[in-house]
Amino acid sequence: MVKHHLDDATLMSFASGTANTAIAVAVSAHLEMCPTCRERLKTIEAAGGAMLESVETSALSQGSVNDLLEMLDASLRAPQAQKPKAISIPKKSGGLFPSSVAGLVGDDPEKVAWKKVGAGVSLHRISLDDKNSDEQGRLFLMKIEAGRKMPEHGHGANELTLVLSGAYSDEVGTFRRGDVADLDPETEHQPVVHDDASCICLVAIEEPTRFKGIIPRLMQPYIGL
Amino acid sequence: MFEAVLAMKAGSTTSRQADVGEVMCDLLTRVAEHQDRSAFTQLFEHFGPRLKGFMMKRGLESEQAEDMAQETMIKVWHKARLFNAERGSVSTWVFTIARNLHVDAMRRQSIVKFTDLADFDEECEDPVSDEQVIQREEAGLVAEAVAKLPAEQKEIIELAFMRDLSQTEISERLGVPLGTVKSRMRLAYQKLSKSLEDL
Repeated sequence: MVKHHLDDATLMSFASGTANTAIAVAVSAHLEMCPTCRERLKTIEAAGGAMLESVETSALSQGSVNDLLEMLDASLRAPQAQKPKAISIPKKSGGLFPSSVAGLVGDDPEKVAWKKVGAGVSLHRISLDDKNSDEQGRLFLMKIEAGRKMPEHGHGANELTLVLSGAYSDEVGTFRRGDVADLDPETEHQPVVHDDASCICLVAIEEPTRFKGIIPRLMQPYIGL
Repeated sequence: MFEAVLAMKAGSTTSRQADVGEVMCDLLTRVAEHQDRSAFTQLFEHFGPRLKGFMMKRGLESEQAEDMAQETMIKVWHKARLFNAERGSVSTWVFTIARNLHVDAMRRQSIVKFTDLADFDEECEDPVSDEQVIQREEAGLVAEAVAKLPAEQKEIIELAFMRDLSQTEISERLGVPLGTVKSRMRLAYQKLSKSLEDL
């Protein structure tokens, strides 16, 4: 049962299609695991539907209907291309990674190319192959060993941390699989990973170039910056 | 044709949206079950000019916007069988298809497949038989709530949903701090979800 949810504003950005790629992947991964936020998303998308109903219309050109029907015929002739699969992603793979993450890194955490960045902390930068590279943000998998205490730190304005396995506790509460930390920038916290297992998180950072992101901040004590 | 009928009913936003919703749902069902081209054409008469307006607000030129409106409708035809009235109104569904197409065209969020999230919804299904009716009513209530939002909150969600601006871009455009953009979005969401509380 997921206890820590997405901020309303984050869901709004996602629903309007204006979240950048890294954030969108993390939101999507959380949504897969959280029926509550899926319900909230429906309400927000309904607002999009209402705005579409009342948007200032723009007259179609003459012959637009005929063009449409020609496009339809062409699409019906195209082999299978337009036929939607009833279900296009495996339903809850049962694996560790939600399908929006598995689609990027595979479904086996053992096969992730982890890079050790400090005592007890490994990272994997997930490549996001978007055209607008400055809009895509940064996405990481982070693995922290059992019992490890992280240095106290704050967060930038748009950063999400989603727990995929294991658990940690901090001043805000206890975060387990499916819980997302969508925190205020003012929140300072010091996560402690529970003793029984290492903790794997998905970390999404909106800003691409800012070097005061969570990773350097977390790594500061280890790499001596 | 139905537009004229609807225009004569001088109802509230809620009942108008509910009426539109019902007509659209019937048309879409005819497309899904009978590949009915006349129903499809009527759907286009309703949604085409709206989709074109929507795409133009998102920054496309008139011609491109019309192409995208048509492409959206082609998707509507092919996906018609997958429409689930329990998840929301036809307008909402068409909005999500158009949004996804536009996002794909911009190659942003493109590796995320929004609509597939519907596949995960079974477990929390409510065994309510008149769910469809509730959903239609819900669309009307949300529409009314959107119409009644305080100007500064409405402005923010229009900039995001219609103008395709990110939180940061909105904050720059309006000259307000990012935190203000977020808090207005939160307030707007709270009003929207409150409007559904009585259901």
